[in-house]
Order: sequence, then structure tokens, then C-alpha cells
Amino acid sequence: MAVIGIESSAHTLGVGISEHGRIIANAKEMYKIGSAGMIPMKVADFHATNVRTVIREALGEAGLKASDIEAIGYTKGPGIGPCLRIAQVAAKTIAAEHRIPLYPVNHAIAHIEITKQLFNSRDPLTLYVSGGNSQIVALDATPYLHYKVLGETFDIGVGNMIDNFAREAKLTPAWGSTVAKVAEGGRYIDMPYSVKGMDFTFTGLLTNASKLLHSGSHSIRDIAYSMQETAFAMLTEAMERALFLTMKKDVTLCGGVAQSRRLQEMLRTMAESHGTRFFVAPNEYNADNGAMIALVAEKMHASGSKQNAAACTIDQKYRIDSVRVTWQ
Amino acid sequence: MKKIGEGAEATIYITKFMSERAVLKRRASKAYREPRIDISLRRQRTRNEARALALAHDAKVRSPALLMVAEYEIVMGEIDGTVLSRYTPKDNEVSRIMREVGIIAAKLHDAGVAHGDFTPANIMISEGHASVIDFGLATTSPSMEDKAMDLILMKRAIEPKDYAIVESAYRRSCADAERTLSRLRAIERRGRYKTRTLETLKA
Repeated sequence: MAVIGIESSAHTLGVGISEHGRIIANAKEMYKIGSAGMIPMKVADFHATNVRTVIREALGEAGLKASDIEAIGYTKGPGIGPCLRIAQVAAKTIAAEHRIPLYPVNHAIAHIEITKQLFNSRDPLTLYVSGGNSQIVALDATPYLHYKVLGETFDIGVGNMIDNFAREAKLTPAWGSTVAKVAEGGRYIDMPYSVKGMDFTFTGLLTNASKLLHSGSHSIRDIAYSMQETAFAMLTEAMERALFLTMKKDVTLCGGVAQSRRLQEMLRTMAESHGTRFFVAPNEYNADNGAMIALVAEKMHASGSKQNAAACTIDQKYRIDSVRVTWQ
Repeated sequence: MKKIGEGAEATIYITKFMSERAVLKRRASKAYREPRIDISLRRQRTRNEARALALAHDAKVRSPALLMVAEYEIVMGEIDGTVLSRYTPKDNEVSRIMREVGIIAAKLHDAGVAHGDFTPANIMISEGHASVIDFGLATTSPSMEDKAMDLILMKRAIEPKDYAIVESAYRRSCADAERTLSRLRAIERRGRYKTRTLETLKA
């Protein structure tokens, strides 16, 4: 059974193919972000122009024809509206043309599920960190099986904070790995630390870092280092509290910011100090990708998830805790 | 010294203070974080917790008595009982306990303390009465938002009908209740936070 998945929630257009839980193709094209950040309509145009090619590429990688595909999934959300629209329309078209079932997939769940699949971890406590989101989630059976949000950001995602700082500091490309590089060997300056229970906020930290940056009183290196250390310490502390609460045996880290070596190291240290296993997928799957969408679509398909054309919309704020898990 | 509990942040021991049984709370160092964050958080929180405990006690809130403070350690009075999250109240006690929870929040807030982790796991039921424990995340210069968050944390953790009792007791007992409660509604209206409950699932 081969299932194809299309992802276009942000700057990446990804098409992946999953067969019996194995990833047999993961093709992608990425929109190059300039100093202006992401302009939604421009990114959507990019996706629309490339979607056919990337689908063909994925099929080629898997050695399959379009007629070999048994079901199709696309990212319903969360994400940027005009961008999401491209995968949805492409998936609907293919589903109609080949008369195959169509599944709307939650982007955050896809990141979580692919990590579970890769490490055979059935019931982890997960930190999902990306540009727009930062959440602590775990499966919960009440009132029925879903991913419960135990803690989350009250303002912006941690990735958003880092990217914003990078743009303020005129670093290119303006994203996490650049900031991490600049931060190397930095010395710590006091920063506002904001954790409430298992929730957190990042704007105070960003404002403080930007203020220091413009005051010229400290080096970019020290500011970047301190901001990053503080943000990741906050996330790790909130995770530690969640771990004590849920008593889960595995800790996983996923989403775009999961590519940060420092964050990986901190969570691993925390998890292992409590005898808990720690897993993080290779970068290929923490960056946005189509393979994880295909994987979840396949799980939905195999578990007999109901076909519902009315649900095949896009939803910019598609909450992870609004999805009923049918495949666990 | 006997270890009786280990939390994410601190370890709790039973000790003796002036030949009485007492509780010692020690904040452990965390290897995962930058050492200066580690030291400053542990120091700050220990000091903060001690101040909050003292203020709560002065305001006659049922809470542990502060006995001694060191750099990363606090010694406090022991409250023997079962935490609300593990306690099954008898039918005739539920509303009284919930009322007491509301009054605890009200008195704390009037005394200038927001608890910071106001959940059933931190309400100790001792001889049928509610006390509040663990001031580890308390703040002694709380904003409206901090106070509202106390109520939100409790609201999220208990049955809606029980929370209704907490809130009405709070409204009656706290001088600034209306402002806190209107902030609570505002927080709940924030888009990101709104669907945190299971309402979307039930729909």
C-alpha cells in the first residue's frame, strides 16, 4: 500500500510516499527566504509552480506510477493560508482524478508520528517546536484518544523568536542555525526567564535581546548565546515538569527548531537523568516534509478513518488537540 | 533526613527543626542548563518562595510555616494530609473544600502573592480542610495576569461545577476580584489559548 502526502504549510513544498510505514520517497523544494521574511502570496506562487515537478520527483524516487497510489494526504494546517491552499488543491485534484481516498493531516501530528515511527516509540512525551508553534504534548485517552497539549507558548513560537532576532541582527540566512553559530563561545548576560507551570512566553526575551542589540552594550555573540540558552532552558524545564506529571518513558523532540543541536543536548541530558529514553529524528524529517504527511495519511487510511469531503478544508490554526487519533 | 518526594525542580525531605518534624525543600542543580541560569534561578526561587510563604502566613492563609531559609533550601512546617488531586472528597465536603480553595486564592491575592502553580496537586487536604503548599513558582509582586493565571490553572484541572464554587468564593472574598476575573476572561479569549480545552473534541 503506497500513500502519497503533500506538504505546503510554510516555505517548503514537500511530497513524500509511505509504504507500510516505511518512507520510500521524500522530495522537496524550498522557497528562499530573503530579508523580508515570508511573503505568503509569493511563497504560494512558488509552491503552485513547483508542485507538479515535486510530485513527479517523489514518484520517480519511489519507482511508482501515479496509478500505484492508493490514498493521498495533505497538510490541512496549521500554517499560512495561501500556502496551505496549494497542497489541498493539488491533493483534491489527484484524489478525484484517480478516485482514491483523501485525508487531511495535522502538521504537528505528522512531525510527532514520524518520530514515533522511526524509533518505534509508541507513547512519548513530545516537545514540538517550530516557527509558529511551541507545544508540549502527549497522547491522552479522555474523552477519546487525542494529543493533549500540556503546555505551550502564550505568545510566539520559539522559532519565530529566533528568526526575528536574526533579522534584527541582520544575520543571513535569518534562521536558527545562523544564530547558533553566532552564539558559539558567548558569555551569559541576564535575560528574562518566563515559565508558568508548563507554559512559556518568548516575546519578553525577544524584546530584551533586541534592546541589548540596539544599545550596543554587548556583543551579538553574547546576546545570541544568552537568548538561546534562556529559551531552551525554559523549554527543557517545562518538559521536565511534564515528564514528572505524565511519567512517560520516552521523550521526543520534533519540528523545525528540533534541528538545534543545543536543544537536543539539553533535552537528552534532562531525559536521561530520569532514566527516560530520548529520540530526535534526522533533520530531513524535522524540517517540513511530505513524507510525514504521507505516513499519517497511511495510518488514517489503514485505521479506516472515515472519508469526509467536508473536512478536507484548510485551517490556519488547526489545533493538534482537535484531532481524534484513530490509528494508535 | 528522609526523602519523601522528588519534583521536577526540588527534592523534599522530612527533617527535624527545634525537635519538631519539619519539611526541607532543596532545589537541585540541573546539568542541562547554563550554570549561571541554574544558580540564579535556584537562588531567586528559594528567596521568592520564602517571601511568599511568609506573606501567606501573615495573611492567615492555611499554608506551611516558614522556619528557615538557606541559599537553595527552605525548612517549613509539615502539613500532613493528601493532595486534592489524589483525594476523593466525601459528597458533603466537596463544596466546602472548593469554597476554601477560592478563599485561599482570594487571601493570597489580597496579600500580594500569586501562587504560580495553583493546581489540585498543590492543595493539601488535612483533616478535611484545604491548605495550599508549594510556593515554588509564586510571585510576590503579581500582575493581574499572574492572579488570573492562578484561577485558570485551577479551572483547567477541576470539574466545571467545582470551579464555579471556587470562583464564587473568590469573588466574595477578594477585594480586587472583578479585575482579576475580567483578566481571566480576556486570557481565555486569546485565540491560541481558547481551544486548549476539549470543547473542540466534543463538538
